[in-house]
Amino acid sequence: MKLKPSKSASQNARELLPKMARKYFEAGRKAIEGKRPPDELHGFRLETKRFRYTLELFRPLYGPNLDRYLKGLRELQGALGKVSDYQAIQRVLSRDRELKRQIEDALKGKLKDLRHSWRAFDSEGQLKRWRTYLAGDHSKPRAKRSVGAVARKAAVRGSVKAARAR
Amino acid sequence: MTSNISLQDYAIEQMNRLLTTLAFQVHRAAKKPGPDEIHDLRVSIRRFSQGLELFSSLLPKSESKKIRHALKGMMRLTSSIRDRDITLEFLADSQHTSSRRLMHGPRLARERGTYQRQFAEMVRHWSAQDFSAKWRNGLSLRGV
Repeated sequence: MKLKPSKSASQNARELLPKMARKYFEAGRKAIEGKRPPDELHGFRLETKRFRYTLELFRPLYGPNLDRYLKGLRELQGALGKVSDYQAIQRVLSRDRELKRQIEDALKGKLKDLRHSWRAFDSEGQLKRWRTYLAGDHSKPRAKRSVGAVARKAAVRGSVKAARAR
Repeated sequence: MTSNISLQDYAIEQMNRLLTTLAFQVHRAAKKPGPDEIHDLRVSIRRFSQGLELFSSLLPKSESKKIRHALKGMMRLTSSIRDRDITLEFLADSQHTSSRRLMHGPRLARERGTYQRQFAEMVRHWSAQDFSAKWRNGLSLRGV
């Protein structure tokens, strides 16, 4: 996925990031839903960091709405980090047989949490939502509604409430 | 920030920002190489590395390669420190008996100390070269 210097930063982001999102979701489905050994998750954890940091590099072009998407990614990264922590502990304390079982059990629990986080992250329609958002032009501020329009909407809401109360 | 900013200018702006943060984290960790400082340094290295990879077509290739090599060395070293920090934190948990802490704690602290000294040496080397100014020049980040 190469950037095109002839296009603006914003155009590049709108072309690159939706593709990156698709690849990222595919990698996640393979790594987490498949029956793979935990150490293979390491590659996906690095992929998560790459995806997150790339999104953050383009954050100034998307504005604060991107944070909602980044939040989900951060949570997933946290779950992947916990698995990685226990794998590191396993390596460092590999000679301790007494702790081995305890670490393995903890790791199993963290893997379960990770699968749970992934399912929440990759729930129905999420990939489409990500791709649509990332492909959109967020440089233009959304048109503000006129005071009249806001007042009309409030009046309608008020009459509906009154009707319900009756 | 305008939406029409050229990719080149945008890349320079972002890389300058990431390098400033990295330089700050290197000095912070050099002063106090605690678990949080080492962790934050590693995050800033990853962010900067990602910038190098993403904007690779816009940055001088040979300089980028040299920088990535240096960053890889720092990541490897700090990874050894981080692994010990995580394990020490795991052992500090109240559910572990003090015998396990006594069995592994001193060894892990000793190993961490060794890696920490190597880290201090690497930072001294980086600082002696004024790495951030050198990399900024090498990557031609003075454009904006």
